[in-house]
Amino acid sequence: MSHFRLLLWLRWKYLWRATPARRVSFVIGFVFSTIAAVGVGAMVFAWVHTSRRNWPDLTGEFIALGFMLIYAGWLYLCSLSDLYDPQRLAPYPIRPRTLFWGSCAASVIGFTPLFGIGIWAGLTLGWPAPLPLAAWRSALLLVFLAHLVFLSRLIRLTFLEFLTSRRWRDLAVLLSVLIGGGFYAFFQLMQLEQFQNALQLVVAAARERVFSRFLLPFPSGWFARAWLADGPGAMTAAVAFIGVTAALVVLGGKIENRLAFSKPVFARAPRRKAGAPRPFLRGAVARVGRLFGADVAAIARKELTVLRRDPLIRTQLLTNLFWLFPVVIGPALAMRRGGPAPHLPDVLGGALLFYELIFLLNLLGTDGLALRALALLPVQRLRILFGKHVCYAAVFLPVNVAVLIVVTRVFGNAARLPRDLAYHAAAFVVLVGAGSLVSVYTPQRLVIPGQRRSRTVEHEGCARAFYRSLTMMATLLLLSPVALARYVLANLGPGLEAVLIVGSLGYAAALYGISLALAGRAFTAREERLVEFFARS
Amino acid sequence: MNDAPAIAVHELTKLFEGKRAVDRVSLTVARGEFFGFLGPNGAGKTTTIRMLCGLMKPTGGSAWVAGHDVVHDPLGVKARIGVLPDTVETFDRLTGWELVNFSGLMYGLPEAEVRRRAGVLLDLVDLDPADREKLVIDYSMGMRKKVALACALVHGPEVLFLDEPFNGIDALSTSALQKVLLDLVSRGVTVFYTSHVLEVVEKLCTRVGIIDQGRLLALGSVPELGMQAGLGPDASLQESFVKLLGRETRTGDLDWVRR
Repeated sequence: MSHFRLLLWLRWKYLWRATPARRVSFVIGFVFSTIAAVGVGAMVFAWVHTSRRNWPDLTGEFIALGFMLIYAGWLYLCSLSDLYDPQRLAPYPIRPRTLFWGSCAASVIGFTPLFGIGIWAGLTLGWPAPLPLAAWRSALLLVFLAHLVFLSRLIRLTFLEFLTSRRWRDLAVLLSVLIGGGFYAFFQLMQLEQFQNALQLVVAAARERVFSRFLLPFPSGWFARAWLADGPGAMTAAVAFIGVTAALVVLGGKIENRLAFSKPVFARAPRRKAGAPRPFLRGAVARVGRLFGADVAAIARKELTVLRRDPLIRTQLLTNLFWLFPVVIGPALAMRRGGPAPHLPDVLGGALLFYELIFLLNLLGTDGLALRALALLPVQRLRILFGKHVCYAAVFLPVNVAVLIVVTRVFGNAARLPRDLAYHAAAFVVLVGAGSLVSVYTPQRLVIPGQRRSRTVEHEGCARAFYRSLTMMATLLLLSPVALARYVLANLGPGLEAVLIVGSLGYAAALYGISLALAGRAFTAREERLVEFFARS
Repeated sequence: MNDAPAIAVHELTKLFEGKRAVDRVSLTVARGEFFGFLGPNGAGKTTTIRMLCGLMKPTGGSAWVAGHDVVHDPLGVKARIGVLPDTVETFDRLTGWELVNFSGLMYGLPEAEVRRRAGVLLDLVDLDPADREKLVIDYSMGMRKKVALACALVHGPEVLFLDEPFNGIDALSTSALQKVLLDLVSRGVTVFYTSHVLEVVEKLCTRVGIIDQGRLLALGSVPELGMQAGLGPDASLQESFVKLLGRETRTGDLDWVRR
């Protein structure tokens, strides 16, 4: 079997085994990709057809814009799989040019070509042409798609060292959340009339020939000119585009060759800064140490460092912030329509606490397998839990207080702010206390989408999920006295409020003390089981 | 088979950002020799091996492996060597069986022959039939090493580069694999072996080279190294190694540790 065919075979195996449930996942992936590809085709068809019907003189402009969007979108979404990294295949006697061709051709294996077919169908049906022109356009489109595949691979090869670094992986996780969350927020904020305005802006720009003028210097502009085949420059543009595509192939082989003989990418020694690293939040941790003891400060610092450095946990924190949008946006839009939103601070405060529960009810989840190391420490288990509480209070409370102050000032009753903050603090303390018990009795792996896990890990099962939902309900039940004081008893008389606030805070403190003591004891008793639980993760 | 040495290195040099990772190393390894290549961490062992395997271009000097120039004919070198790296970064979504077959086919062997050899090799490294059908991602470190060794041997290499091959492999399998390697050497295969376990190097290798800070400090059999270190022919490899490196063994004053 030739090297080329082996590279294709490799891609097929990886595609088939991307998930444990191979056949089902493959069929689901195929069905969803087909639906998405039909959607893309329909969008392209609508784009071309509508522009030809409504603005026939501007169709060329829209085509230029469309190809630029496809070009940029493809490069943004292109898969950066490390399957064909030269350092991995370099030990075999394979020619760098074969590796480049093979890795690019392997892009055909998978669901991506469905989108190519969708784009082709949309363009061909949206702008019917005589057979020779249709054939020319189809051939050009094939070159266009090959060009995109070559360019994606070239980008990956050029930035391989950076793209395989831990720094990039951490950054990529954050970027994907920020971009995804940004789109989500954008569509929440954008309203239908604004979309209509945007379309008018695009039409106005097309009338001014903005797209052809500014996109012509770029390959997508050359391609658009070639595809339109409506002027003397079309053939020159086609030759230029095909020439650039051929140059990408030559360059790809050369870069592949350079990487196969370069310094090892995967075995690269990390560059270390001179001198000892400065401990994170040294001053704050020292103050915690003076207040509560060095062991509590050390645990709090460890937890803070994990929250700061672990990209998956950071992602979870950020994702939670984006999920707050529906809670904020709905009432904010309602207020714009005429009514105030006095309960928004309450709703938002509750939402913040709810999204923080994933950490507060799963204190040991961030440790995972490292719990074994924690178990070796001669520290009271109660103090380990307390150290974690100090960390979460330091991370979450300032954010909660800041958000509540801003939202109350904008939407709510500013006079109620001190009381709202007091009730919020009481609720937080109740959740933290109850969370220590829940964490010790129903620990959970911190499951985050995209996290790579071994195939042999069993799912936790319905009984465990049911047990955990019971503990969640019990936690909310423990919260009910604070809620009762805030929403029912406070309405009985204004003089009663001070007593209720003090009572709520006292209740929270007492519950916290009892829960922590019980959780500390339970942690000691169940330590072996807890370590075993995470070891199976 | 020609009479040229399996490995011939002359003034081999590699610079990284001006720093000499390998500094004018010259050595020759005969065909059918079990050669040990030792040095402390960061001495330049891996860089040297990568250059000899055609995976990295030297900054200066020259090297021939199995009669092929590593700079001008890297594909010729790769076709004749087998490599077992220290960390097994491989295609972990293939099964062990598929991975060995894939390797054999990448070396241009006929499919039927690859299947025959894969069966023999996986028997040899003691990977039972059920484990062969598991994905490599689910393997333990020892199983990964065994499969990687089978991949390195499937095409019948003339020279075998092994970087800590027994790391993570149990004692029983280690003993069996050592016998396999000695058998290969008796058939004319050259083994270029690096390890930090000096007792194993002393037991297996006919000659040893010691590298430190990119320079080859000493070269010879274990008794010859003892003589070069000024300790006499009966000195152990460990004693000679420490003496030749010329560094004091640090002990430190652990005054807080009580007896």
